[in-house]
Amino acid sequence: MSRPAVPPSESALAPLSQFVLKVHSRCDLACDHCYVYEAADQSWRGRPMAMSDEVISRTAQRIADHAAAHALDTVQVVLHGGEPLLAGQARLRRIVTELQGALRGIGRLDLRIHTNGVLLNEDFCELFAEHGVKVGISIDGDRAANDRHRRYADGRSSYDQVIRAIGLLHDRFRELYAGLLCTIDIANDPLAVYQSLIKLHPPRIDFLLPHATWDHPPVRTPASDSEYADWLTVIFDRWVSDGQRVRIRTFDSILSTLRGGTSLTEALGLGPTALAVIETDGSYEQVDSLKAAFDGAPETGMNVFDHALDAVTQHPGILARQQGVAGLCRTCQDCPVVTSCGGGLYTHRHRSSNGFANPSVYCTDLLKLISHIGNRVRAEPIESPGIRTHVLGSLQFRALAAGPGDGAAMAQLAEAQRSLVRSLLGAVYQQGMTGPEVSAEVKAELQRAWSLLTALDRERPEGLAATLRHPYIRAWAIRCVRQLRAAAAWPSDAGRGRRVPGLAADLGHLGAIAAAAAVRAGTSGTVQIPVLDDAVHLPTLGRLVVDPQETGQTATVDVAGGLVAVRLGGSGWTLAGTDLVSGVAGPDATVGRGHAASWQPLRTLCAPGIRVVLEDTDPYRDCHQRHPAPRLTDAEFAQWQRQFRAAWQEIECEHSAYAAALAAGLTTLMPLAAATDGGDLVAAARDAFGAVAVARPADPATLALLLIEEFQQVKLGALLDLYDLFDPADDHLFHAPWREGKHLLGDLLQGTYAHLAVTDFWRARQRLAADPAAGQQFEHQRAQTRDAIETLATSGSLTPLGTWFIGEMRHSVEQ
Amino acid sequence: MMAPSKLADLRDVPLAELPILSTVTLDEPLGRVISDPPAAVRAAFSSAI
Repeated sequence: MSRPAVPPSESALAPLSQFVLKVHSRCDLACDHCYVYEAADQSWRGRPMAMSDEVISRTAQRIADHAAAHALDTVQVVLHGGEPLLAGQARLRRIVTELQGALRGIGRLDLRIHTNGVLLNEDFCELFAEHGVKVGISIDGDRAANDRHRRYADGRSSYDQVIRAIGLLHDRFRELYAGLLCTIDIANDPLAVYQSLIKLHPPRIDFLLPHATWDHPPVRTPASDSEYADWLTVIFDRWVSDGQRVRIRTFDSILSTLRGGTSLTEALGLGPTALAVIETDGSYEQVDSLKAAFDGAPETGMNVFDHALDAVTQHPGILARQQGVAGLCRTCQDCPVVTSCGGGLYTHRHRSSNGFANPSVYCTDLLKLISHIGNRVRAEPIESPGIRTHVLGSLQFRALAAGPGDGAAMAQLAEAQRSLVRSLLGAVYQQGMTGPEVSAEVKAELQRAWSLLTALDRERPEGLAATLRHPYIRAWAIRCVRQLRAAAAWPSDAGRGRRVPGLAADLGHLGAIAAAAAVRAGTSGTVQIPVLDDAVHLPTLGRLVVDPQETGQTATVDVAGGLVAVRLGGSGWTLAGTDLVSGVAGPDATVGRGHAASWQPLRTLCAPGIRVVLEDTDPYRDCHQRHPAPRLTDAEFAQWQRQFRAAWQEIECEHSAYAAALAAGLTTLMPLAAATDGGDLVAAARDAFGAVAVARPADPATLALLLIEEFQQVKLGALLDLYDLFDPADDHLFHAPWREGKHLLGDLLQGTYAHLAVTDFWRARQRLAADPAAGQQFEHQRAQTRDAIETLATSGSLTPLGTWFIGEMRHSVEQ
Repeated sequence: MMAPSKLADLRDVPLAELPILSTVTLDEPLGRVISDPPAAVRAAFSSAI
């Protein structure tokens, strides 16, 4: 027996953020490679079978206290065993509700369970869906590979039950499906294992080296000392040639660490351990793979009843794994791949004669595998870890910095917004489905809408993309995510339903988006859509205004055979889908029974070279911090059309540098209610790319100026979604020449960028019209813009890109 | 060419996969997916996924 000899050190204290709860200490399988039962440590024999209520409560409180004391943003808890499903639904429900209750208002809780899958059924999945518990499953490959070790005590195969469980996750509870864990056996064909796992459509896979130490080395063939590297290399090469269709944690970790990033697993890299295990009796232990080292290796001598988790962070075994390179043996310190390997899994370094001061017993494998991946990375680009990022061209960046931008820049920014909106849709669905504050009925409708959206994404991506370009979908999604996060952080369940009265309707809007996309794609689907402001809304198409006397909070919308059937209460109406898409459907386009209803289509403002939707129906357009105008009459729309056409003519003739970006990026104009003092009103919103909200001004020239000025906010906001131009944490305040008071740097940058365009506007005016008043305006605006640019340049908070951006602005204003 | 941005390119990632992407993190106030793995959970437990 040997323990690490690292003295406790206050300065070394790092908080724990991942907790493995051994909720049940027994297993219904008898896998012969299991480190819990088959390795040196046999402590399970003396443990209670399941966590008691008292241990559960104390554990939840200890974790919450630790998270609060260290202001942890996120805590991850893994429900583990033995086989955690043996704990039963009632106990698991108690555990997750205790944890969620204890951590509410303190930090985010990432809950997972890792199971052999044998007992996983719909009831367990419903419980996990209700509480947002993601599920990982162990499986070693195809039937032959899995049956090699993963059997019942009587020798029966567990394969069919595990496949059934994975199918349940994939088919019915996909948002819970965390991934698959495969323990390597070099007797299995690596490609057969890989392909069998890929067929199960996991979001993530990891391959585990079987636990071994220098005293109990891994199985090898006499002719080789790196079979495990060879086995993984076959899979890595196929994974790369297949386009990395699934995340593989081992490979992602190596790719990430080779590029200076962090590892995703304790088995690789130099990241400090942040993990503690809590056994069924409340004992704190170190990582449980240490059971493979020697009897009692994971013990700390501490427990949830007598010790805070801060005490665990001071345990020599924990401290030893927070030393980075300094905590490794000399051989590892001198190794060229040490930053990727990190000495391998701590357990695999153990030798009874000198403890853990050794390379991994898999050292030759790790060196060979990491070297192979490093050589592949140098020879050809391999994305890491799996997700590419958007890149703005330097010419486009420079065009934007100069003020006007161009069509190519707007196209690139719009493509980036596509990713952003798609990620937000996924976040709304995931957080809605796993939010305990969301009712089962709302979750069922979310799931129905999501199924339609994902089917459209696969089969009619153009129809979905056209819908997702609508600027207020991002605003809606942000509103949902914020509400879900706020609700989850409330300190108690009391009054939660009353405090989010609109959450169900907001989440229901996902159905409206799905229905609109189905109409555009010409496909079929049925969803429930909330009735908001006495109307059934179809984003990008318009709204069906119903009688306020109509009963029912949600309408059923059937899209099929080119028709859109809406049912609400005892009434029903039918519209032609093609008429909705083309915009020709008018108020009398509905055919129905029961109460009357009126279709209000979105209308489009047209001028040569540009078409802009006039958005006066969407329920989420109220995000510009100004009051939207109500639905415009036909006469008001005609006034808008005349003024817009004239304003666009002026922009094209007099301010052509700004016309290209406007034509490419301005998709939506949202009419605002007129200001009470008769002044001009215009606003953009960071969450509404492509939209400008404006009250109809007195004349076309003013509208041209307002559009040019405010569209700067749209451009800069989208650029800031991609790149930081300044330190967002800087809370210093700065003077703006055009407004009283002081302002945050971001607000000053937005204002200055808008003033750059206003300066250009008056520069063009004075040149073209030789207008003395325009000349005065130009000089005044330029002086203010110059002043603000210098304030920005000397703020000390600009990033290198920000410095470049401001330099281009300065050059532009001096022209 | 500029440096890679902070926004993950999800255009070709199937919508069905987005809720379960676990190598990215959401910048919640902006709804922006950042492509770096979350730093909050380091040296993650290897016996679960």
